Amino acid sequence: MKKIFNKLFLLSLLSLSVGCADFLEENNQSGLTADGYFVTLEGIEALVNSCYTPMRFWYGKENGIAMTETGTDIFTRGNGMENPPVALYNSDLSGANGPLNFYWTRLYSALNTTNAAVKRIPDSPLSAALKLEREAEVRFLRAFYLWHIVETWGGVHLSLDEVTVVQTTANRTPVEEFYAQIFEDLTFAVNNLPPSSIDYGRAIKPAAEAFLARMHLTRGNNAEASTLAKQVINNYSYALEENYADLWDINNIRNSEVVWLVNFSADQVLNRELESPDGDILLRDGGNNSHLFFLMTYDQLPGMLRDINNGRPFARFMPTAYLLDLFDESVDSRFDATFQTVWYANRPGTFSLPLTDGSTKDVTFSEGDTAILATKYPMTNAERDALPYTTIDRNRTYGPDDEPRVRDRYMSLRKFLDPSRPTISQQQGQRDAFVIRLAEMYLIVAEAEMNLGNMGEAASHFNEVSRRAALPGQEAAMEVAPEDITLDLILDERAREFAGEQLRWFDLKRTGKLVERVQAHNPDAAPNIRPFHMVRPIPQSQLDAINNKDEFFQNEGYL
Amino acid sequence: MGGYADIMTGPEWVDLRRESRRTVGEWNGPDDDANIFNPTQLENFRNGVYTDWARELLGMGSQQNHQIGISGGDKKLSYYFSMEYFNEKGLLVNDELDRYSGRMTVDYKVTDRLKLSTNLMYTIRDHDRRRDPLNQANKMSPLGPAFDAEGNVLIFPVGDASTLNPLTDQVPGNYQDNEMNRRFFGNVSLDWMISDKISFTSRLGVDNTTSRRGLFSATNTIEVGPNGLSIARLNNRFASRNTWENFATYTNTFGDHNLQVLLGQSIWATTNETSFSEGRDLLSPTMLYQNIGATQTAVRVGSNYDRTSLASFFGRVNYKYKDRYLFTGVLRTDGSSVLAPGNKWGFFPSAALSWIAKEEGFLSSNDAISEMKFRLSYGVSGNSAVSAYQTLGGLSKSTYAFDRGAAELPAFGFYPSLIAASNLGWETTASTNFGVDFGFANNRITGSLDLYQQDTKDLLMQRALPTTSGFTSSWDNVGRTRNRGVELLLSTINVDRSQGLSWFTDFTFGANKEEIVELVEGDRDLANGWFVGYPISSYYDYEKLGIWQLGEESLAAENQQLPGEIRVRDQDGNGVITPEDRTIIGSNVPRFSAGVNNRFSYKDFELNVFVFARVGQMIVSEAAGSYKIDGLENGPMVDYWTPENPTNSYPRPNAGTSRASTRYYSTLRYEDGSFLKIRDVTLAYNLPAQIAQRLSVSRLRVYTTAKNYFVWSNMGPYDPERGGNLSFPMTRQMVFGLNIDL
Repeated sequence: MKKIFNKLFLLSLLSLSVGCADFLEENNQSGLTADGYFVTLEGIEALVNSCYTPMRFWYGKENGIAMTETGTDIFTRGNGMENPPVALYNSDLSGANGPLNFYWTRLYSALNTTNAAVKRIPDSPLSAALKLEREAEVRFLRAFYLWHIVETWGGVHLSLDEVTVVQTTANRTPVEEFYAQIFEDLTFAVNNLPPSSIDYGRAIKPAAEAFLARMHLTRGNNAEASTLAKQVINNYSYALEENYADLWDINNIRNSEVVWLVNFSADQVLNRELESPDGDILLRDGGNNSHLFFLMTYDQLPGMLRDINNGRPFARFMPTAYLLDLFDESVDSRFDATFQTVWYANRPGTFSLPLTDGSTKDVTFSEGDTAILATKYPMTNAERDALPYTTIDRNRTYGPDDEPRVRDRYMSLRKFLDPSRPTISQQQGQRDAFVIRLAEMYLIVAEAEMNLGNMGEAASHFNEVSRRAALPGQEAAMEVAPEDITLDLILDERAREFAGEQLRWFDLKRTGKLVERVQAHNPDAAPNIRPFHMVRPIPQSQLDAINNKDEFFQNEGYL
Repeated sequence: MGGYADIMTGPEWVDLRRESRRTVGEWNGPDDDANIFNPTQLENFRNGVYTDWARELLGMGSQQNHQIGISGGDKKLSYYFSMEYFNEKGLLVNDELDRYSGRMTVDYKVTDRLKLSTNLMYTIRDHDRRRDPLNQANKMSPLGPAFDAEGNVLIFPVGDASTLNPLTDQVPGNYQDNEMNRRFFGNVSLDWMISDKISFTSRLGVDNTTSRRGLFSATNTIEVGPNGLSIARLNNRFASRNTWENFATYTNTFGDHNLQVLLGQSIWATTNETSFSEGRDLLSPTMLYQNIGATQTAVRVGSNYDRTSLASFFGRVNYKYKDRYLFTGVLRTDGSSVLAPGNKWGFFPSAALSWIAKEEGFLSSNDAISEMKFRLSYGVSGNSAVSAYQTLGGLSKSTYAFDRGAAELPAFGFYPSLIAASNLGWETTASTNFGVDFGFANNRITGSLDLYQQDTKDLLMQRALPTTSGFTSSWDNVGRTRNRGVELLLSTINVDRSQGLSWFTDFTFGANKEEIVELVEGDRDLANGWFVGYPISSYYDYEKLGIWQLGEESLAAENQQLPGEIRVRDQDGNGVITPEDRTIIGSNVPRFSAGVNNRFSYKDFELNVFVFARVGQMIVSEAAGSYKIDGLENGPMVDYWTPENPTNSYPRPNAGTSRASTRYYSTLRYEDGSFLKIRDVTLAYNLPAQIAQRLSVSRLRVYTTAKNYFVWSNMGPYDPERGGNLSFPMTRQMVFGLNIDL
């Protein structure tokens, strides 16, 4: 018996002496560390891949669209909008705003990730050629994120280092320094990216040139902007789609006009974006969600059921009357390509239809009959009551000063409809978000040349875009003469061409027209907007968390 | 079900929605109703059709518990054996727990000097969970019927294709979420009396849990949403904790001196292994979660492993002099895997002195003072409750895709998501305790009084970081806290007649003051809400004064506000409300709590009444913070401002804002959580001994208990002991029980 105990004693002593150091050492087999993984070939590629993902938070997502389309002259708050202050610039727009905090957090995480990649690629086991290419991709993306940060919040924190120890301060870096870095990164990208890639969606040279053209235009470097935009037009095989409506065909996502895009997938496994450290997904609805937000709730009206072709209506955003009036639909194909104005019955039967005097009449729909008609023109009560379907005329939606009267009955932007989704309820769409289309390059040339006084060249590039948009035989009617080119005309054309494409707020800010145009054309936001709204409030949680509160402070004007 | 919250009825919600649209000029009278309600809801409203969804969902739950225990033995062997069955049906349909447990303990004396023991326990928990339907019930429009004419659950009851009936999850076959948890716990130990003075113990233990959680949720359930693809998901987890401890004890007595010395060592390691699979659009709902391979799309899998370990060495001295002076001293050192290299080991001494004054000559024969003992202790303890691998930092997965030809090329990646907490060390608490145990009047009055102070340093907390760093939070040793308090226990025998009435009272009282003494930097950490001089869990926010009233337009305008909006205090008096005007408005730490338990018995009857109070804590009330200012959804009925109702409680309904973006909305959530309640009342009847004997039992007791039936607080129908949450109301229980001793 004693021998057994002696052995036990020995064993336990052994476990003490040998075990302790190893016994308490951590080895995270399910996880990875930066220093362990990013030095490998697969690790550095994984780091580069992860630099692309944050784009998916902004593009094709509800709040990214809200921050770029509402609070402008062309879209305002719909019935279901969950973050109205962004559309209204009222005093509720503050550092407490949740979506702003979300983007602040994600964009700085993206900056840290791209910083890590820029720093680590040169020491990685990639081949020399691939090192340059990957670094160029990542620096393109870093410039892309920096632009979103600086345009949204102005001269806020800028760091180019990978953060490895807890940081409790932040700096205020002037806007000029942000742009200096953006230009430096993009120049590197233009010089080192290949003209094309076997992987569609990877950063390539024309995308970097196109984005650099946008940056030069933003900073008033008109000659550079024009030169770069023309390079994109002339040096590659991009071409305007013949028919504007075809751009939005869900079966034509990869078309000849897309210069830069955010890739989304039909495979939900590939739409999962970022996981948090505990394995949760950071944003629940992966994929492109833009098909949801611009649609009015047609499915509540007689003769209509929700279906895949008409979409799942979230009623978040509605057009301003001004946007509708910008189109001359008798010559411009873009009106019908952009807006759904007729809904055809998909729920046959007899329904009672409310009349303007409060009484009702019975109407019977067969499959495919007109059930709802929306028009931007006013109708008389007699005209409306005479029609055997629901009418949404101008007066139904908008008041005498074009202020919205109701926010769930309006013409719906249909460019992003995605009938390829397997179910009507699925929020994840596969449509790639177009970030830069070739049409923008023509309009950049037009604007830059106008600024340089070359009106002829401005008009010829402008007309490339408007001619393409013309209804058959109306090309001449859509053209403008060199002397007609003005900044406002270009902004109007951009509204017609890019409505909903997450450019508008930046366009108005770039041209100094944000306050003026919102006051003139957006009755919801007009009473509230002030010049300080050209930048957004910094999240209060950021201001609370830093130790240098005297140096890093809220943007002017925000309480 | 216990106290809940009053959700708006159909007409109340119609008023809210109208007011919210009136504020933005979209509603001027009932003629505009068609603009703000969908046709179905408008018709239901006009016909008086509306539903209290929560009432449809919440029913009566029940509990059952059956247990038998047998113990016995002889000179060599002793044993204890028990079996137990427990069943609980929740307030919601399909919320049910079955638990079976078995336990066996055997001690066997091999020789006079050698004892072997085993202790085994097995538990099976079979738990059907219901996905919380109350969130949906409380927010959806009430303007619809729950059932159609045939009595079937109406899937879309309020006229749109996006609002599901919260009852859909209880339609047979629609939803199952089952957790099957099997736990085996056991240890074997060996006690060896090497000599009369020296003994040695070695104990080896395992605690293994396997858990399987399966979920199936059909189309049109709350989990997958309207017309969503069905989902099947399976989570498996294997958790194991292995422990081994060895210690030797030396015991000796020298005259009046009694000494015991213990030296030992222990190690434990826990591992967690999880795996997970999920898919959508199951080929047949009959397969539930038992064939994930039969899902058709969005298949996901995952697995994870983690391990933590702790090693300890310890020594203890117990010394007793004349059975009245007692001393205990402990020295221990612990090493924890989750802390940073260099900081893994901590050293934790403690000492305690007791004096049993009653044993002294001057008290031993005193009848008035029947018991008297003084205790004094000081000790340092450590805490390393951090999840594994925080000191290493980490990466998280990212997903992207490129197109290569017609195919999609996955572009998964990893990005830095967790910053390394590379200095993480032990949190230590030094506790000083002074206590008295007393008994008076032949122990008719007994009790104890304790005074304590706990000084904690290197507090282990997760702290928020400025997100410009690229990270949102990190574990850290963040500061020092102090807790001071008093605890009193008093038991009295008021009446005690062997045949007639007896009445016993137990009184407890506890008060504690918690405060932060020091932070890493400065004395205010706004991001985390930590302030020197205040409890860790303090609420830092604006102080609500009321609502801006008509006539106060110009004052309100200085802060870009309008009548009907929330008015808060301008703490710094500079005329404008900024984040600087936030202040510490309370904490969830109670000032004190007290309980009184009265036990009466008369002949064969017993009555037990337990009254409990907790006072001074502020709670964040989900109901108070669920006011639907935008009228988009339904919520609790509150007294909201309108031009005709100049209240100071809740702001004006406004379709032009949202809950998340209404300024100072968070100030609506805070409520005084103080309460007084009769936590339970039990009435019991013991079968008289003679009758019991005739039934061959030694005792037979029948009882009924009412739990949580009587509550007094400032929170209306809500029971504040739940802490503010709305989705899982406090249950009121009526218990009927039977105890039989053979």
